[in-house]
Amino acid sequence: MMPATRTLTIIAQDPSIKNAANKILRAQVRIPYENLQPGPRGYRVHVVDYDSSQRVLYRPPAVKDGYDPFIRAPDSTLCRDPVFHAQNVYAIVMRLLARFEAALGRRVSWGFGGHQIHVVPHAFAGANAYYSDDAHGLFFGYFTGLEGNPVYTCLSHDVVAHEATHALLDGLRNTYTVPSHPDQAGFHEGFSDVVALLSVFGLPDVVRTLLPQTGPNRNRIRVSDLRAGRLKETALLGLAEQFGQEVSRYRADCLRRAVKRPPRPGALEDPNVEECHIRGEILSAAVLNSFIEVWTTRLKTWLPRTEKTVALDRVIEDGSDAAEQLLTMCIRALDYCPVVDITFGDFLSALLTADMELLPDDGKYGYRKVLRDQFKAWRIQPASGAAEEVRARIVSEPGVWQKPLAKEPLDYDCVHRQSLEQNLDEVFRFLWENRKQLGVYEDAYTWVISVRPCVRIGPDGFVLRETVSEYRQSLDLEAGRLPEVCDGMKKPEGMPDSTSVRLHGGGVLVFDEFGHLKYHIRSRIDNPKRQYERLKYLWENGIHDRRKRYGFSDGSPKGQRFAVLHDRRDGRAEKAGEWDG
Amino acid sequence: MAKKKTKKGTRRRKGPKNVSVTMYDVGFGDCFLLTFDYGNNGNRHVLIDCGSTSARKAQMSRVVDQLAKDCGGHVDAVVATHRHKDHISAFGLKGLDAKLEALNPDVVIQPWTEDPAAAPDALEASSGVTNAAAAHVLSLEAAQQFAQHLADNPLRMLAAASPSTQRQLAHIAALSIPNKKAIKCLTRMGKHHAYVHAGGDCGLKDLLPGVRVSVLGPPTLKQSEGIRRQKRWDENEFWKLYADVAGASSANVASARGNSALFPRVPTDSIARAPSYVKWVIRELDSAQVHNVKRIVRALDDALNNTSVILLFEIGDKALLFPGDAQLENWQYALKDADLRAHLRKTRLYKVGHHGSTNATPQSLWALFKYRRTRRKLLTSLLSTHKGHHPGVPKESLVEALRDKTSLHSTESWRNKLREVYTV
Repeated sequence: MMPATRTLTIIAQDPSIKNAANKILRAQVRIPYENLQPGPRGYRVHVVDYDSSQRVLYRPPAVKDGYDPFIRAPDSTLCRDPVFHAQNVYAIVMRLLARFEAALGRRVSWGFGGHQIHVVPHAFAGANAYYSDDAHGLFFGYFTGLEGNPVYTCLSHDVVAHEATHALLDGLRNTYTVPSHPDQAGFHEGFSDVVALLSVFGLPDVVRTLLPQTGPNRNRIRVSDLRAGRLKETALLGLAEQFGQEVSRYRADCLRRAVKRPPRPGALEDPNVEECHIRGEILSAAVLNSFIEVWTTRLKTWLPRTEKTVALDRVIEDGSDAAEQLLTMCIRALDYCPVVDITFGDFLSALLTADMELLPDDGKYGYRKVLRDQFKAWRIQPASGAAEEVRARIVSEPGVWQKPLAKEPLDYDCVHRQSLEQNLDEVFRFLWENRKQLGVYEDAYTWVISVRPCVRIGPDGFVLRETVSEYRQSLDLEAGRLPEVCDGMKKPEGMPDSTSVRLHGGGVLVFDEFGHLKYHIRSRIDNPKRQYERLKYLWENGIHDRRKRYGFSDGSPKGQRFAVLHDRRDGRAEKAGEWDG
Repeated sequence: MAKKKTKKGTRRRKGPKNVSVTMYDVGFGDCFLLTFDYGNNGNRHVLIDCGSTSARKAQMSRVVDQLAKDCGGHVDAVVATHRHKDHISAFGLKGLDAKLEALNPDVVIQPWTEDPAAAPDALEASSGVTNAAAAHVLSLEAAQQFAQHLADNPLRMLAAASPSTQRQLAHIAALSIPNKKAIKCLTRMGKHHAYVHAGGDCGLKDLLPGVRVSVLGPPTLKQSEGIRRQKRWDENEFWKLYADVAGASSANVASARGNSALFPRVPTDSIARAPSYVKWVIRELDSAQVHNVKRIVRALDDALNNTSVILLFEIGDKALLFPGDAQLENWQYALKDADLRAHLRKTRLYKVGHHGSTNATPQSLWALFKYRRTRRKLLTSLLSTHKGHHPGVPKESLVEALRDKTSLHSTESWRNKLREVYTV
């Protein structure tokens, strides 16, 4: 009989991070077992070791079943053996995929339509790594380190997890790469960072190296080291300092800046915070500070008042549990995120709603309250309308999405419940028949892009069955027609009437186990405020396709969207005027 | 009224009676000699750039001989706007370097990024050079090494690219190679060196009495803080591009030393015999690699162009504008300043930026020129270029506008002519 899982060795952070015995810090991770081909080439991940800078294709190594070949390998082997590099990326990507599937209660597809993602551990010479949807792959570069040693980005857990999260997020919401408001690109980066960082905290061995140890066997920790400020300094900043020692040119600063950045209300309105990585750091900062707060809340429930030191293992266990729980919440929130133009406020509402659905009571650690407070410190309010709706008893808790309040009852007679759980056309029929009640804009092109039944089990064993379906709308028009279509919306200043623009809209339909609509998270295509802000940003930043149309694509070459994120043309330059034609 | 004495002990003279600009035919490149006629007090000469990527050495030699004659064997100042080959190559050519050195300029003007104190191997930083500035220069250096490697090995680095892309990128890379010989020559020349930035002093005040010379660019990193795109060169804010160029260059330079395979002992497979689904990935990656190289090379080309010194010479109510290859990002700092905009309005002679490229003559700058007119052409524009040498340069729509509203002189239309003189 096939075993359920396989255990493989990975590098827990990167090769420069050593344990107490001065050996590279490793972790043994369990991933779903599968019958692997050389590569490894499995049912979801295919490692291809091709170096495009040298035009060399390394022979795919055979995979030996039954044991972990690198469990006792010396450090030098881990650094220099490409077979281990292949195993490292395979295991990290598979672990993350399994993590997403467990949190969402269903299989998660890649965004490009295929089943197997190509992971190329030595793809090119260069301190870069990126996800390419067109090439169905994750590409990791290598470069010469400051001391002349080769540095492989594929050996950095953080880099691999970050890029793999881009791929997973693209699979769940492939509309988030459509040109939009700066929050959307910032969300892609921030969410990938959050997942990469929280999955590191989920590895107890890593947390152990970060905390100050005491006692004869170094298995105790001082109670004074467990205050929120101190934990932030040791665990988060400690990790930030360790992070990227090897790949410092690649992404050393993002965590450091995210952690050090004190909450600044109104930061998101600052035009200097429009760059997606900087914006993403705000999301990371809010979630990571929430993590520290939840960790300390958990510790406070059992920390003794009289003793000066406590068992380190229990502290680590609490930290890992808090990280895992927050990670699960973040992944589950994706199902409740709007289908286009996500803002950080939308994500907060999605986080709160997803968690409330599973755990109606916020529990003794108050995860949702902590998240609300931490986001509030950055003046990020839930998109749902919050307090007023609670007062009006529309929602049961501040910040969660509002349940549909149809003026007319929805028509369920037209659809079959079972078919509604799996058939795109059935969902479209429901949408079409109820378009008036649901407020769907009728003159836009509308299509259902997914229908996903899922089963989720909360920490208390509570089972939640839902069907999540997304539909999209798009409308191509000339800028001069915007006021007529979008409820008097003005076009961005200076944009000629003849400019082609594409508006996006859509919604997420969440059905309960009886096939009734529970949530309709709608992004109205004729919302003048949202569409104006988006088009204004695209116009001012010169984000257009090669035919100078706004809102269609960002004009980056095929498969290069994530590779060129930093190389985007500055739109203010565009406004100063190039010579066209 | 008593006349004040200048440092040199001579009496302060009035401004020049006349100013003329000589444009030399260097193909795709720049070479301009400014002659300020002070009547009985003789002429003063300023040489702005001398380089080409298309002209052969013999042509450059003729140009240098001619310009030495035109200036009477001495120039008062040499301006090397930036380190691209099409602007300084003659300073690095054997034989020509000595002739140019013999012009014995009083001052050599270069952008602040050429300040030896900001160089990566500088022993100590001078007071004005910050860590960020040094990092900026370091990233430019690293990227130039990458360009050198690409120019030397275009076939290997761009194996998957079409021949025209290979040619195009190798050409852009060749522009950006370090040009060490030329830089050394410029360092040797001149009694004084001025490494200038926007708003700074270029040291021409005493040499050109009665002429107001303003430096409009390049901005320092601090000055360009408000310009988002420029900020990507600040390592603290925009690490990735910096990493791209620095990392790619070091890795590729390492591989150029002979480490042909990353893991020489690991068995490899023939690409031709790989399964079709693997070949598909290889094709995608090869094409991505071409895009990566293209991106780095173009970013470097832009970055070096944006280190261009922009000089505005004003004599009375006339202004002469020499922007080198400055692109939008460099211009944006100067164009934000209302006072500078007022001075730019007076422009009567414009050296067309970056050989007529799409983004070196911002529309907002063009709109400022009050003498651009269709009927009585009071604005002279000088375009030193060579079509087909740099993709999309010169930009046809710009050339049409220049032809329509200014008295346009382009080296492109010259036949067997070495130079032309324009009096303002």
